[in-house]
Amino acid sequence: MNRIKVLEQAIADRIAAGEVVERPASVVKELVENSLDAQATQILIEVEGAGAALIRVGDDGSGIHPDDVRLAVQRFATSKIATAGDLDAIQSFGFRGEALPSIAAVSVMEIASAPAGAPAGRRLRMEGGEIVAEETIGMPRGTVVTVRQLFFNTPARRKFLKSTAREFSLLIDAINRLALAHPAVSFRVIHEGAEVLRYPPGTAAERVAAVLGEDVSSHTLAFSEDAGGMRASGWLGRLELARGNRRQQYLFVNRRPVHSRLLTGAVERAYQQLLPGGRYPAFVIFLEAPPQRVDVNVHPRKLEVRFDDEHQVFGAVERLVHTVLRRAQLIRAVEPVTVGGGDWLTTSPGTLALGDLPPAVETAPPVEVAASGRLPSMRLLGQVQNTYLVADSADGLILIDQHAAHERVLYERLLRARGRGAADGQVQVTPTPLPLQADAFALLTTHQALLAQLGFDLEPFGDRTVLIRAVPQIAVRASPQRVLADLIAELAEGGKATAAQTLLERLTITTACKTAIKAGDTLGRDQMAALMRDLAQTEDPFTCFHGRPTLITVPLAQLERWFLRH
Amino acid sequence: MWVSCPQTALLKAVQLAGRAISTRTTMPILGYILLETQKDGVKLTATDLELAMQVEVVAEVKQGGQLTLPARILSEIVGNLPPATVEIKAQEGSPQAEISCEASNFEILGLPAGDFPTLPRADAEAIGEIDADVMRMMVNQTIFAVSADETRPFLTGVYVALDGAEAKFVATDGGRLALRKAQLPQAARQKVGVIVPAKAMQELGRALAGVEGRVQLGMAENQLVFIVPGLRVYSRLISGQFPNYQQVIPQEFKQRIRVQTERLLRAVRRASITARDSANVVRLSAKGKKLTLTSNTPEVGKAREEVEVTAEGEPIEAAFNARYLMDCLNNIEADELFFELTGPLSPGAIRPAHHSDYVYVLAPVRVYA
Ligand SMILES: Nc1ncnc2c1ncn2[C@@H]1O[C@H](COP(=O)(O)OP(=O)(O)O)[C@@H](O)[C@H]1O
Repeated sequence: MNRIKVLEQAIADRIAAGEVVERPASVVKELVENSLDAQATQILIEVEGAGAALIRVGDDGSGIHPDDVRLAVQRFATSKIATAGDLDAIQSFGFRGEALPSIAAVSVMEIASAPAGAPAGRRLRMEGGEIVAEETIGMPRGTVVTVRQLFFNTPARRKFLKSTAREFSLLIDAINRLALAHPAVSFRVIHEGAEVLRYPPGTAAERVAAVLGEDVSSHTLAFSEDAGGMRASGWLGRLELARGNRRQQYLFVNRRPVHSRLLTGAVERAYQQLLPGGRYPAFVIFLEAPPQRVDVNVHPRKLEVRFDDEHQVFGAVERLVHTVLRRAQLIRAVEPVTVGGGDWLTTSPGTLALGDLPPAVETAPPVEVAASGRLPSMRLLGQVQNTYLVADSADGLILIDQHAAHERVLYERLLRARGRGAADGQVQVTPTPLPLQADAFALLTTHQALLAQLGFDLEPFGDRTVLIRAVPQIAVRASPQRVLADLIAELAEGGKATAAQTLLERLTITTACKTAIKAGDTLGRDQMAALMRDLAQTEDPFTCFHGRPTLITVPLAQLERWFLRH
Repeated sequence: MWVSCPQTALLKAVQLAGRAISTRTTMPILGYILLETQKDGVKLTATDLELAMQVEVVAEVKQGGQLTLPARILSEIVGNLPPATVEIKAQEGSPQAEISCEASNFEILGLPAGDFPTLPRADAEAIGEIDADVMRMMVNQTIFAVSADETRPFLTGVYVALDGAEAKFVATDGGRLALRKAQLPQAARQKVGVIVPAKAMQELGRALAGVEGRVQLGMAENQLVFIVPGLRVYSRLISGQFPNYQQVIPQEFKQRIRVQTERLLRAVRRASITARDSANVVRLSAKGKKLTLTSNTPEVGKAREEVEVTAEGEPIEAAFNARYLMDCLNNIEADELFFELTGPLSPGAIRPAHHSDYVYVLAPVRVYA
């Protein structure tokens, strides 16, 4: 351990100013980071009143030289950097020498520390930043920081605290994020005298399972790859883990938990189309980048990072996530049952309406569909409500949304055809006149070229009618008028709609959606088999382009749970 | 009601009538078969309100009456009875019926016969008659071209026209059109042109398999009735104007290819293996004695087929939907045919080489790259 020095004013000024201590969670975060910087292998966190009454963080780390303890609580005193040059290659969590004094200023704080080989340790007691007592004590190697009466002298700050439950959950979240990045370090949290959390040292995978829960971690895809000069590893949540908020997203840059719109955006972009709007993927991602390439000195709480080449990083991360997702089998499992609620029988999807399966007497033998692409082999058993297909597979029961599945097939077909120039158009034996409103007519005629890429051949006829000369080949069984009506609506939206998708993209989606098999269409065995085979050939068989799932599996274990078979 | 009849005849009747039942849960009675006694038999009726099938079985009537029985259960029971005499018995006015045959005895609950939808009164106004065999062929050669587009209901049926001594069945889905003509044994009593829903035509085609003699066509309360001995099929009609199909049929061609149907069919079938993804498109071009078919889906592969033909006129290359081609070739019932082409983007026509009663017009697919 380096000795503590007071930073030169010039360096101190370069460090972004700002308050470190916002709420109990930030205190815990700063203290735990110090313990991690001190190479602790065990960290014990005691909390009372969600941290407002007491926070105590004890570790078995390197400890502080008895003569340095006074320095440690002084502003801009740090052992972690010495020169301005060090700022450009930060390896540790702390480096500002700001945390301890900031915490001490707003609480009644005690710091006790003993380094290795020292005969005794030193304890310092402070109130509102003033040292009120100092003594030599006997203690094992390590550091214990006790923070009482947080914000006792800043009532305004105290008022801004949220409910105890909320503050506590933020506090636990802060610990979880650090614990994820340090699986070899054991963590224990004691709240109001009771142990609420214990993470034994283990592998990264064990830690993820411990922090996120088995139910979650078993629905993830582990990866470890190179991404644009960085090393990326972690776990991507399968689609069923997606939620309406981003709380299940854990990002780390060089083992430091960070928030980054850039990185989150890149990951979510890769998930786009796989998830419906408003649903966010779950993930734990560790990026290792050379320290010169990232700047963590953006935010006083060090939650944000900046990269030297954001564009490049965004692209690399998006590609990486894309690759991991595209090589996996992504059939959604019925959502994991939340244990402990006791009401799982009603909250789990017991809505499976299988009651209307046709009677067994009339069913023909099931259709075998061999494993292909990313789909497992399955035996198609039939159709439910003329809307879903049911299949048996080694993993359990598979349910397929026939419309979503066919949408996916047609969409990719159109995309490929567009890539070749334009989609095939079935010429009509005689052109069908389509009378239109003036505005619709104008839209269709100005966008004739776009529509031609989808296979339409439209010819203005008079000033209010177009002749449909050809329709997209994929739409021959559907109603060209209906498809056109929806395309007109899409065209009317024009540039107003989602900028992320081009007009042509939206037209492609609409065409696929409107020509696909609908819910309610009766499918013959051959049609079902063909649909599954076509789906297996697609690049993204698991979702339609609206992000809704095409297939869901009910794992055997789930079936057993439903039938109380254990 | 008390009747007895042979199991085999009853089973056939139950199965035939049962094709018209509907499983619409909103009207449970549509899942039932109405049984009514007649002079020397019993009449079975089932309907989904669009189509009704009425089948007569010769039976010994010991006591007249009517009742309804659930179609599926009735068909299962009768199907599993030994080939002997079946007796059906019910108290007047009671919905409960007893079915017995040798050592088997069932008691089945029906619904009140009075709830069964009424059909047009039996006497239809006769229009004309067609040979059952010919009619079946007319159905088979047109039905596949019917459209599924509910926004254009007038394309979702087969246009049936009788005029003088000629009958015509026409169907189109926009991309193709099938027209089958036939000479009537006698001139039609009246001129009609109606659109019959595809389902009725399909069931009619099925029901006519194996039927000999003539089918009488009649009109009753705006329904078309097809009558053969022992069977009546009633169909609701689709309102609307069927497109002017005459103008669709090409009057001339630039190239005419004469080919054996079977050879062409096999070649198309094989070529379509590599055409599935790219919307099933097969390209054709003929020169002299050789017709070449190709298909290509970059993600799947390519195929090339050569067929011996006689081609005359200027060579034209056009792409067609393989499904469209096969539908026609599978049903044309001609050993040899003419394939007439007018241009890469203009409709072509397929006609049997030896008669002019059938023409199938199909528009090409506009392909890129
Ligand atoms: N748990 C601990 N174990 C060992 N040393 C510590 C611990 N906490 C703080 N220190 C020492 O006190 C110094 C000041 O800490 P702090 O005010 O948090 O600033 P920073 O962590 O930014 O250096 C650190 O640089 C470190 O040397």
